Amino acid sequence: MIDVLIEPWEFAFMQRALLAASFAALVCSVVGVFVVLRGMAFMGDAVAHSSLAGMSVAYFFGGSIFWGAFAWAVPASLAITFISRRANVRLDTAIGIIFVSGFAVGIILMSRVSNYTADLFGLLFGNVLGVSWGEVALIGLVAGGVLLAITALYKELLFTAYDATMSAASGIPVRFIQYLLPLLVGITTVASLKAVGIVLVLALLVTPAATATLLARRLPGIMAISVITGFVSTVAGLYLSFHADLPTGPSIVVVATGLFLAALLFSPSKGVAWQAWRSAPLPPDEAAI
Amino acid sequence: MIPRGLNRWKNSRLPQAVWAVPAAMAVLMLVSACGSSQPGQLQADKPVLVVATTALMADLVRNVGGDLVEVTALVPPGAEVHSFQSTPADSVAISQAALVVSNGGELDGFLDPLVQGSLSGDAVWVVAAAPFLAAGETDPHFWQNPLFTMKYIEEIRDGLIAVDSDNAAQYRTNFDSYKDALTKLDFDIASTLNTVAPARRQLITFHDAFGHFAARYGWQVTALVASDGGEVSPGRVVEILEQVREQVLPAVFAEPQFRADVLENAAQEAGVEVGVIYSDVLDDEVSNYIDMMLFNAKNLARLLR
Amino acid sequence: MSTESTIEIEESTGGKPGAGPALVIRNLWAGYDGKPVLEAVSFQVERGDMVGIIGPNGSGKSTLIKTVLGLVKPMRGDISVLGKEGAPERHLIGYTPQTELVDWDFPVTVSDVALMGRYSRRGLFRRTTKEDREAADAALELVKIFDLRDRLIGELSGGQRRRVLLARAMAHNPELLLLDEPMAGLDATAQHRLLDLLDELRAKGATVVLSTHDLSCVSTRCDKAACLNRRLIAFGKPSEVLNEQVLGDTFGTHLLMVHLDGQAYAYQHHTHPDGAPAVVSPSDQGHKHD
Repeated sequence: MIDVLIEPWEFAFMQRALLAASFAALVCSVVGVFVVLRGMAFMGDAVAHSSLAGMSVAYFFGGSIFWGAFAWAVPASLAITFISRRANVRLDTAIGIIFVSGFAVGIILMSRVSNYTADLFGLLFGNVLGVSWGEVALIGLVAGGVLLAITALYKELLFTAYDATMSAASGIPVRFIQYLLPLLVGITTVASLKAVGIVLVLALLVTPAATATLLARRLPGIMAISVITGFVSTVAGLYLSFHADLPTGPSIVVVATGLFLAALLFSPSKGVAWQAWRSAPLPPDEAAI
Repeated sequence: MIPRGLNRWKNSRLPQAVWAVPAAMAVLMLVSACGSSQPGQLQADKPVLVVATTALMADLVRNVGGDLVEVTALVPPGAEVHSFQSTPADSVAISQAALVVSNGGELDGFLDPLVQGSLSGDAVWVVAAAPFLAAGETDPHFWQNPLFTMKYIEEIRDGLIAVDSDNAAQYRTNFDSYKDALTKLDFDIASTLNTVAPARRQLITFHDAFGHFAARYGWQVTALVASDGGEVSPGRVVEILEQVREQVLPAVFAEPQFRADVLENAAQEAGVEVGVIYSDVLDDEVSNYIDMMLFNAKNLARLLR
Repeated sequence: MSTESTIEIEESTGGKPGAGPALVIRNLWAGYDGKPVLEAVSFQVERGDMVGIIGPNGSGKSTLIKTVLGLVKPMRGDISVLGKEGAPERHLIGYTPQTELVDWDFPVTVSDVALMGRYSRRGLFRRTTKEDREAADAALELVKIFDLRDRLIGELSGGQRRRVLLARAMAHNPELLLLDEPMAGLDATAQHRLLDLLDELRAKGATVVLSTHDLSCVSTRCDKAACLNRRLIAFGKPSEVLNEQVLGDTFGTHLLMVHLDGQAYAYQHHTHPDGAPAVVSPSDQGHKHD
């Protein structure tokens, strides 16, 4: 039994995968709480897909694809916020526009380049098993930066999230915060692309946080459970992937989803299973007696 | 920014759990640091473990290595290279291999990080197309020309000798006989293709993998899509339809692993048949390199004669 | 009826030496994106008064409050809060926004919200102190929801929600309270309780300015009424100001104030084609349940 637990970590590539995926899961779990509570899931997904444009441009000029994606994620998330606030376009519309246009530009650029496009798709689908120590450090740094920002501005983010008017009246730079949060979401998703790829990064962002809202009442508890769930999903997913010979990213997502479903059914307060069990039958109809 | 005391749960403060969780990770890492697995050591009387990226490369290695090698392919037969999702078992196999053989270039270049990440210090990594790529060629499907394939197997032989010098003589023998087989293959392909009228020596395919084949045997090749993963532009489809009509070609060709709807629709419109051609995938029909090349030649001849 | 009690309150709290009015607004023009929503508004609120700002939707009530808070820059004119011109010191003003703007599903408790009221004293990066917690608890006691302090805000009733916002506003002991539509959606009992609470706060020295659609509450409980429809139609004691002419100009319809048994009602009277007032119907707010 011990062997089963220890064996994967004897390989350097698994150690790197654990670190990279854990950093990604950690930051996604924390940012994800805000995403779930504020209904911004679509935004994270959109920035990730849209960053294909940034990757293509970077590749075109021979630069690092990772930084190209980042360089795109920053203006994309700012643009989404700007469009929805100033141009009076609904948030999901703004997101949809940025999402699709970025992805389309990316594909056009890629079709212009006649050689070496395969590793762009590699980044889209992600393969954490191929990360280098340098990339692990990069993901860690970005994750750490985002977490630091959230820790420092925790109260401000909280206050603005549930009452922007009052928080402005209290002296919080609300506009800055309202641009900052989507930006952090964008950066988080791009950093996590390496770990799980574009298709799955949304799951990592949303699922642990959603699980946490089913299991905890107050925000600190939700944050804590989200982080723990994200981390457990990562480790369990890696074990699953190693011992059952499955791709790693999807394994992590499957575990996270499984935990969510378990919470959905069995959560002490909100579980669907308990609710069915708890609902008492109605008293007998008096007229029928 | 370090908070005072751990008893602040009543406050709406980012809980300490967020920073404490990586501690569990540290435990795991410590455990793993205690014993890293030994990379693939060459052991006497045991076959040399070789990992090849594709089934086709694996076939070439088997022909040079014979019984002395045990080859696994990362991408299984029948699967398309770019949609390949690796699992930890693949990385484990790489870490235990004495020799890794990949093609290089656009074809399997995206697997490079995987190989780099797990390759053991003593192992040798052969990138078969390296000399051609260094000379500036971009189409990585070099094996479509059997003469180029001879260079491939030469490098594979050298790689095997480098990791298993005791058996050098055997590898050289295997190399020589397979090289003869390739010479015969080249001749057979040429004579088969000669049965096609010169005006009809035009290969129209979905995917641009046959440039080297065409160059070797004096054929013209047109592809709908310039590179793997590219998008088809309408202009291209029109060009190809015109070409088909002008030359009165009876067939165009698609590879089994690609969904070539665009090509098939164009063919239907032009009233031509769609034939099968293999570029880099082996399956039940063609299970090795030589069979694949012969099949292509015979099919081309049959449909375009 | 309200006139005498108003004077009483003024005398009990107006004793501070050198204390000027709580709020002075002079020729204020303000709006968004270059378009003014308020035009040439001028009035003055004495300390300890409760002033009701009434007007229809879009009349600028919220804008007026936001301008006083410093959230909207005046285009012309000036405001002085508690004797000080220019940007107001945030911790001197307590504010409750319209409840529709708050995300009640957010997983925070009553005490979390009250604690956030201390933010304006502390600013960015400061940790909450024991003093903060005690002040927040005191504010919760003041509005009588201390025993609900561990409830999630989503679990509160409408009246309780108003009170938690009020506790937050009071947590930093402000002298001026600006309440944006605190009565909206509350039933009559809850409204009265809230108004009683505001009277208690005024007894402790606060000045209250609230915006509302509810004419009866203004006419019975407020010291002064400000009738706003982009311009200040009238400002003064409700009994003097809330007449048919003023109300007509403010709301753009014909309204009639009826005082009955110490309660006031606003009525919209319909005229038959032949000229005689026939059907009398109550306006949407301001009628009391039996």
